[in-house]
Amino acid sequence: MKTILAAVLLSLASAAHAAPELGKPAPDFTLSDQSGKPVKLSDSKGKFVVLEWFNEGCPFVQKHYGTRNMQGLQKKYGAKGVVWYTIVSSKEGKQGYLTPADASQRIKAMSSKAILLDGKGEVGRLYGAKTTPHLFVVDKKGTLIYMGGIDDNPSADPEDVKTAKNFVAAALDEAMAGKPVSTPSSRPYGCSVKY
Amino acid sequence: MKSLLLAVLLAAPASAAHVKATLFVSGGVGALRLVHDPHWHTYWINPGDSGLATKLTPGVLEFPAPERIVAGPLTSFGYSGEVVLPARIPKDVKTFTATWLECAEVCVPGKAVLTPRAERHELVSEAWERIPQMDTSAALGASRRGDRVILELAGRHPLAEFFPTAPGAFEGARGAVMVAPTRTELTLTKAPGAPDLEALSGVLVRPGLPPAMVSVPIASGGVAARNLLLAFLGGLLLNLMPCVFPVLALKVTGLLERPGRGHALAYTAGVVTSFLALAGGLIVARAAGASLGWGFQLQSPWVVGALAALFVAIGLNLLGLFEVGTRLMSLGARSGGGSFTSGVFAVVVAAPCTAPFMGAALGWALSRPAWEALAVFAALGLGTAAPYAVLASRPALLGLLPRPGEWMVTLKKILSIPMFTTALWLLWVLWRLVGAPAAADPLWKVWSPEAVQEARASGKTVFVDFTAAWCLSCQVNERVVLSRPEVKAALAKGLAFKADWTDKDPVIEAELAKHGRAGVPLYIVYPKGGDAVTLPEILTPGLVLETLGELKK
Repeated sequence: MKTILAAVLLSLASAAHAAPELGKPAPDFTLSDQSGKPVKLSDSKGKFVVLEWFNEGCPFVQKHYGTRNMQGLQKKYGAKGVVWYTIVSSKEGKQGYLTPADASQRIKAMSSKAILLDGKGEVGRLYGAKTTPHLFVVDKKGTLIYMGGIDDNPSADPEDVKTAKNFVAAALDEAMAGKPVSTPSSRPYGCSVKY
Repeated sequence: MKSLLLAVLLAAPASAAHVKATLFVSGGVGALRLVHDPHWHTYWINPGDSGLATKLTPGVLEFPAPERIVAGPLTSFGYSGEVVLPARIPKDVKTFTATWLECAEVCVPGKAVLTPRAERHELVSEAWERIPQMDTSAALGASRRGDRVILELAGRHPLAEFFPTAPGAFEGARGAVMVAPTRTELTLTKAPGAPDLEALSGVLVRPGLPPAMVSVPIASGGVAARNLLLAFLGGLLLNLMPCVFPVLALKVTGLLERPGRGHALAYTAGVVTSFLALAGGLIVARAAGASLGWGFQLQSPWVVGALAALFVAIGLNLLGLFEVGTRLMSLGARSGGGSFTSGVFAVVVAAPCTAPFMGAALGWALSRPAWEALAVFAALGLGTAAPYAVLASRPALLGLLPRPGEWMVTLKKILSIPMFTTALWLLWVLWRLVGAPAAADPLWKVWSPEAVQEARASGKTVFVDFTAAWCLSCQVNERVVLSRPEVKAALAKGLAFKADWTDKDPVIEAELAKHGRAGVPLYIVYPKGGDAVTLPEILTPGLVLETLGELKK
């Protein structure tokens, strides 16, 4: 009887969480990185993970890479043991699409752990990624603790990076200090993901 | 190699030459005109899933009603072609800077330094006249249902669109539209992680009417309470249905002979537990990927056959021909455990009856989060058990009924009629299930998602009837409304499809789920080039004709 009840509760729980939800386990996935190696999200359990949606042709992405803001975050938190994945969900033939060969060039100028290639857009749709950039932070237990924009100033102007409040850095700092994340979600801004 | 990426990432964006901006001034107010190249667009104050609103510094822009811009799974709100944005501008300023994001497949930030021109005065004044005005009578209210907000409009507007003002609060995609005779419901889906808003503000666009600003508070919880009340009332009504009433009547006559308050609780517990077990089992099966909706109980020939046999047996038993059923049904008269069993039995005979009458409502409940679905089924059970429970716990009420006597035998004989009728109906369902096709009408094409897609691509208005042989409200709608000559003539101008769910069908099931349903009937109209509009479960010829007519405008 107990096992039936447990099965019922378990299936109810899994049925209810198709879309990513704050405070719930981040949906697991496996994608190939730039060298063709499969990368599974749940293999990073025990570490913080950042998922960053990327399209090199998008001016909003260029705003954060041109000012080295994004690479700075990747480097700073990478040094603290955070696993940072840059994900490309652009469809083949659309802006921002990368072949593994392209991606192995691009990764050299970044400090993320890997570029994950999602040309079918499956992981993008799984996470409901809308814009580039769009960021998700997963804690050591695999729980989704932040989703949304990179900061609080939705603009394409590189000058705004200096004055904006960076939500991803704040979420990581707070969570690493054992504190609750004060802004767990925000509106993602940027170009639409080119599914 | 690093320089390669930096070169890419730092490269000056492609020149923002796809949108031309001009600033006009007239009588102290301004207007920013944007002319877009074909396929390019700029954004509204709430850009939707992606994008950025156009800005003017110094100054404040006002925005006319936007349009939806759909790119795959993402939807933005903005403008194409030519748009004129009214601008409040300070006096004595010579130059202004307009910034915008222009996108086609790709996006480029646009910027222009502008000197206001004192010309095209009519363009400025017309732009100001086009700003949506507050209309307090357009919306009846808004309510929260889980992660959705339903905006209720006065009148029937199948093509209505609503654009919420708050950026990031809702998904951009157009939600479900449901029309009823005198009102329309628009569904908005909350964006993941967005906070629950207390009020809904935005621009309402209805063909034939000027765009209107709408602002209404969002009621929480009221709808859930209403659903529970409706389920309770549905349960009460169930007692009057031909399959349940005889069972209830027998139970009550049993009470006359052997009154006792203990039965009320046990019977209620039996009914509620059975409904919860049915719903719970179904939710688990659906979560495990089974293609089942409310109506599953009538989609297996074996179950339908067994139920038909059961109803024949009860009928014969009521006629006094044999005694098996009575023992089962009157077990409750002796012990609490027996009353529980007869509560279970009441649900066994009632469950098939809920599919024809309440399939759509219970199917809708199943598509809600598990706790909500279970609450609805519990309320349904309480309603079903209520009449008997009240009689059993208030012996004084029993005094109002005639004394036990010969009339009870006559009553039983009369009650056998609905039992036999139910059995006959089940046999008809069985006959349809084992392969007898419905009479073919050339108007109705066989439904498939591909056929509908093709028909919509050909630019025709498409009507889809999701139906089942065992669904009584479907049959009534088809016979009383959809087969009328004038309705058929209207349907024949477009294309009509019938999706028959008498038997299990995962494709139909998936389509029902797309519209948030797990039961029939479901009626959908796809206007020419537009999105799905849902009609209510009880049709009238006027509603169908007028909706088809309104959509043609």
